[in-house]
Amino acid sequence: MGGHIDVMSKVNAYISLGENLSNLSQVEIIDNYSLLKKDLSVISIGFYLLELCEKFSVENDPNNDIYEHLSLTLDLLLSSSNKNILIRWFEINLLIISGFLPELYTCLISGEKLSEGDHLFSSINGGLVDKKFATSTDNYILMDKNSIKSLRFLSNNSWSDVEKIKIPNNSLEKLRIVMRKYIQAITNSQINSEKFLSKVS
Amino acid sequence: MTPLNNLQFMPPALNKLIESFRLLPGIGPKTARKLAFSTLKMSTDQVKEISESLLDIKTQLIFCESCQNISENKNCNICMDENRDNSIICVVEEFMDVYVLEKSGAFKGKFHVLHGSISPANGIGPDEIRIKELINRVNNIPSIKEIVIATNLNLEGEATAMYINQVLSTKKDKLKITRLARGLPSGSDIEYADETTILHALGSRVNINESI
Ligand SMILES: [Zn+2]
Repeated sequence: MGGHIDVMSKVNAYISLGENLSNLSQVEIIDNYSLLKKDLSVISIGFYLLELCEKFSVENDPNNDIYEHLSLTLDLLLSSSNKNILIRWFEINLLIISGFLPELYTCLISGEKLSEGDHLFSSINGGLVDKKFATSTDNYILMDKNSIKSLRFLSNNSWSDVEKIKIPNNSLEKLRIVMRKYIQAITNSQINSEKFLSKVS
Repeated sequence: MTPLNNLQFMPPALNKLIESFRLLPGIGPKTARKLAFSTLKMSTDQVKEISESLLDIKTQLIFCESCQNISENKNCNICMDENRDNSIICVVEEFMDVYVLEKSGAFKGKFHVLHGSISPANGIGPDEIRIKELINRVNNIPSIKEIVIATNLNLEGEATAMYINQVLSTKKDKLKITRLARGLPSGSDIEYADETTILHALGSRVNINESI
């Protein structure tokens, strides 16, 4: 059965549940993503997506939405022309599925609707804070107007709409930093595979 | 150490031994208890011999400077063997792999042990295994003509192979980088083979006269 069970393979597994130990009796491959596995940079993205799913999943509590989201993203990985946008879209939607959609329209301190412009992202509060609340000691990340717009767009749209847009590299880099900080704050851990992802992609 | 077996009536020394056995791979609480009780029944000399052997592998064994395999000296016996082919290096994940390949008697070159494979989710990247030492070796020894990558055929092993190929192919011209052939194992039934294995077996099929 060895060849059937590998990281980044979609399988049908037949498991007889036992009191102490369960027994894996049969495995059938649905998709082993062999085309994805030919490219090291794509593999590194795969490792990253899988680790995120693992961090947002709870043992013995199957989460179909996360599974479907991962499955769809892996399917899109080979065809998507901008893999960095796909990763950010995956992250924000994983956060939505898991109930951690960051607040992107209302200031988390004043409760007032945010004006159009630059604002601050607070990973501890889980969203945007009006720029006027900046202090010299806070851990807020300054987000420019375009990065905020991009993040809102990614959180509100399906991939078929997202893949049509272009996000400038500086905004994409800002989104990467914001997402990393926010995911670290939620999971209270580092995402290990991020280092390898940036090394080979 | 988390005292998972910490039973009130058990003497602390015995509990400590059970927990120590549990650190070994494949040893669950029941087996650890069984091993601890068996140790208790042994003679003092036997236990002394076991504990000394355990210590010896940490104090007397080092890693070979060249191939990173376990060795009692600065250079291991394989690296010191002048009858072996210096132009070909087989890269493996663990020293157990060296043992398996040596047992087959089919490989007469030298080895390089990586001490693991790239496993990003576990925090193991290229810098955490001995890829740097392999690159240095290739750069410093002109006689090396071929690198056979024999990492495991799972995603981590494949990623490691691809990464090594990526870094080595830019380091040295005319360096041949090969991967162990992938296909059906001897004695296996085609009926039970997975799609990837079938795909590779078909892709690397050989003329029937060469298949021995
Ligand atoms: Zn050696």
